[in-house]
Amino acid sequence: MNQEDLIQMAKAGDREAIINLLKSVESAVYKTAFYYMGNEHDAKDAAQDALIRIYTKIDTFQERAKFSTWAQRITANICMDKFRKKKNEISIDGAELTVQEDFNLEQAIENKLMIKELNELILVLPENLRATMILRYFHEFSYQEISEALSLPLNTVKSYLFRAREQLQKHYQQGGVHL
Amino acid sequence: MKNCDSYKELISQQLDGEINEDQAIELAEHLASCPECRQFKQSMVALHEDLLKLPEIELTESIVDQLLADKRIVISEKKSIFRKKNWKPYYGVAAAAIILIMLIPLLPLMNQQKADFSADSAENFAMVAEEAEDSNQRLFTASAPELDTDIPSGGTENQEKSTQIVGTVDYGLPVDVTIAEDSSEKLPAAQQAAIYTINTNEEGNQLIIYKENVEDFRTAKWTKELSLHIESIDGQYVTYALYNADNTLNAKYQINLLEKQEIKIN
Repeated sequence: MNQEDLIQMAKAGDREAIINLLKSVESAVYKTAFYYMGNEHDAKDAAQDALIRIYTKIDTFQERAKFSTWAQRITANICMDKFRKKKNEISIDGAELTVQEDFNLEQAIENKLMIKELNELILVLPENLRATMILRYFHEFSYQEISEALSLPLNTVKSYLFRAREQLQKHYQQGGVHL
Repeated sequence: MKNCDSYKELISQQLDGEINEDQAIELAEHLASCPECRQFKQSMVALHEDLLKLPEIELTESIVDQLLADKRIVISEKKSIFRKKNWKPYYGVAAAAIILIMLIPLLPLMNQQKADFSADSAENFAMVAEEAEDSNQRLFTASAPELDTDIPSGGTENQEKSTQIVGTVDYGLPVDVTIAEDSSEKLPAAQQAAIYTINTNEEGNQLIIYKENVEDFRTAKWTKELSLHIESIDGQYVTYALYNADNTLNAKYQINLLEKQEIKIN
């Protein structure tokens, strides 16, 4: 069954269809939430809320957008709301990230530092810049898709990505050596 | 293209593959003559490559399965979501504080997350209405049987007056409950009473218990279609019910404040 059929059935209230649809996006929803919120606990909380919101709003979904793009839009909005509320109590724990096992020890340590540093830097980006970076790097969205997901003009997407990179690059130490 | 900033932006676009041939040629020509932009490109590429190396975030357990396993999350065959239009007649009325009292019978329409009817301004109420309208959230009922007189309601005078008019006592949240923790044999009888505050989370789909203003316990979340009804607060036990959109009972739970747990009851 293709996605269009599933969406139609979900809109008509079919339980299996909505479950299938939610499952098709949950990993992507969680990934965005993870990079946006910065830790597993808040990410799960945000992802859960996003999935519930997708479920309750499915009848407002317009088929001219891609379902995955629409799901990211809802996720980004929920993450932004939650992050704002939590702003003063962010905890960053690099240890929550799992480093892939095929690295040798030395590489793993080096990468762990890099991963931790980049994640921390992404977390302090202004919210719109962070959202564009997440969609670009972790979902490989095109400018057009980012523009749809975040309701931003194309030129703004361009400029946000540029500013985000500029800001990251300014502070990125890459294991202690400034670029 | 005139200044280096424009070229720097092109460098960023090039990393995303969002640059056309003419732009690429123009950029290459500029880079050949501008050491600063060459340096910039080098550090941008290094950053870009490291960003691409960030590990995949894997979801170890399906969140959807977790939602399905939770009896309070109802993914039903036939959805019935609270509609905006139901709000309209009351929304405008909410503007005047004095009329708030008249709205008591409409408490079932009130959003639990801000259900502290102690909220003393109509503006506040209007905001609640607007938010609820925005998110199509199912709203909550907050009326309940008589409260024990020794339980501080956490409400204001306004609330007390209001509730007297309609002859019921409402568990407007947050509500404070005082419990002398001497019910357990382990604790000395002289143990001082602890104040527990019961409130919902921001989304209004989960109860949070604070003990002396420190979070102590959270219930599981429920879907926003369900309405919350605090049934009773009796000593250490808080009973709450969740109603479906058609006002049929979905489930009833009892929280034991001292033991920090909740059980489903019939």
